Amino acid sequence: MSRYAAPLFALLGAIGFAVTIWMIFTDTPLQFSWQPNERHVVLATGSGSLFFNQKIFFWHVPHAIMLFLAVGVAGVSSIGFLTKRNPKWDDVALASVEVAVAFGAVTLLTGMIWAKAAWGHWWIWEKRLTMSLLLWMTLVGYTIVRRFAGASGERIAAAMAVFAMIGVPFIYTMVGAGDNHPQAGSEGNVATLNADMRPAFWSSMVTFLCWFLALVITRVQSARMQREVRELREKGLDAGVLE
Amino acid sequence: MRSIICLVLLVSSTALADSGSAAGSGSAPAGSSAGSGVPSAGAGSGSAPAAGADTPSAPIPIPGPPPPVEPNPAARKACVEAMNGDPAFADRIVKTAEVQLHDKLMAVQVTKDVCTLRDHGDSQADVAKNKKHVLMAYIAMWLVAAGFVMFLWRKQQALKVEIANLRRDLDAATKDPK
Repeated sequence: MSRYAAPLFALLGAIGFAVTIWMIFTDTPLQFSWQPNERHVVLATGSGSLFFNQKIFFWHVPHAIMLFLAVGVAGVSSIGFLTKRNPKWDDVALASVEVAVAFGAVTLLTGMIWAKAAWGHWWIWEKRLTMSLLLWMTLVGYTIVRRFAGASGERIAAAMAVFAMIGVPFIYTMVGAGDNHPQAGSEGNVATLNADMRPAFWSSMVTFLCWFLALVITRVQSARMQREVRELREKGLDAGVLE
Repeated sequence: MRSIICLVLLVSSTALADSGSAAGSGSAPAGSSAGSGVPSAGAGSGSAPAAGADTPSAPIPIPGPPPPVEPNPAARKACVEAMNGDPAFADRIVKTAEVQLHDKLMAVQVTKDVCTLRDHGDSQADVAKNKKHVLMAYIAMWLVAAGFVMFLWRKQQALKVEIANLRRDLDAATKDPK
């Protein structure tokens, strides 16, 4: 892995972020809709029309997708680690999970703020929201196991990462017809997005993908340094330098 | 029976109608009064913002029920006799009462619609002007990102120092076996 990869992706992410912010606030229309009333067609307030608040969408959804991507990378890497016992897989899994915790925190926080704006509640115990919270708690559990469970914690944590990855498709599809949260697929917010909003959304997606890659690469480098520290300590113990 | 219905309609329409408008709209055909509901909604909504422009927060009053009218037994008797004596006159009375009742109900409904539309407009303005949630989401995103980058940076710095110290100790130990 090139030492310039992380700075390059970070730079691309910074440029993309500036462009995305400009597009979100100057180039995308406000979101609103009209609904038939008993006697009139009226401007739909509430979840029908979010106006300026809809701009949270451009951060919330890319972060959620990066969360799913990070959990997927962590799950696949953990399977690789459990089958091959190669520590490089474990480094990637650890890095991905920690990045997933950060992206998941942003997803949950921006989602709560959006829910307050759209539904009038900070939190509703719907299926997708509850499962997303459980996923995030599982990822936090992974980091706790890695921190406190010692050497055997690597395999326990790897199993947790695989478990978390299995949950992602359920979270994505688990939206009922009566739920407040938008449905996935062709009925979802992304598929039904206004054409004028799509450039900002995809710009945001690319930006956060660059940001995700920069963070994962940096964290993998840290994990390798941690491994190097452990190896040097073992050498020091063998040489009698360390006690 | 028919005359009783007529009387009920007449009394109720009299009770709803204010004294000034009753005579003017009473002669309007049913079709035109039904059609007047839509234009009057427009007229109502046109006049409401003008009032609202001066005092945006002042609610549009919904007219309440007028005070009850004391029945006049002599007029009632004369009316019943006239209606029983002339079915065509009775039909005209019934139609007039229906038209007046309809007009009054429409007026109340239009006022309610104007209020509903204004509430929607107020909500729209509140949501459209409210930037608090977007700002909160933006701050949350930056706080988490800054916290994570700080965590990574401090971790890397600590690891670099630790690696340098360990290498120095190991090099010193290999150069000086004692």
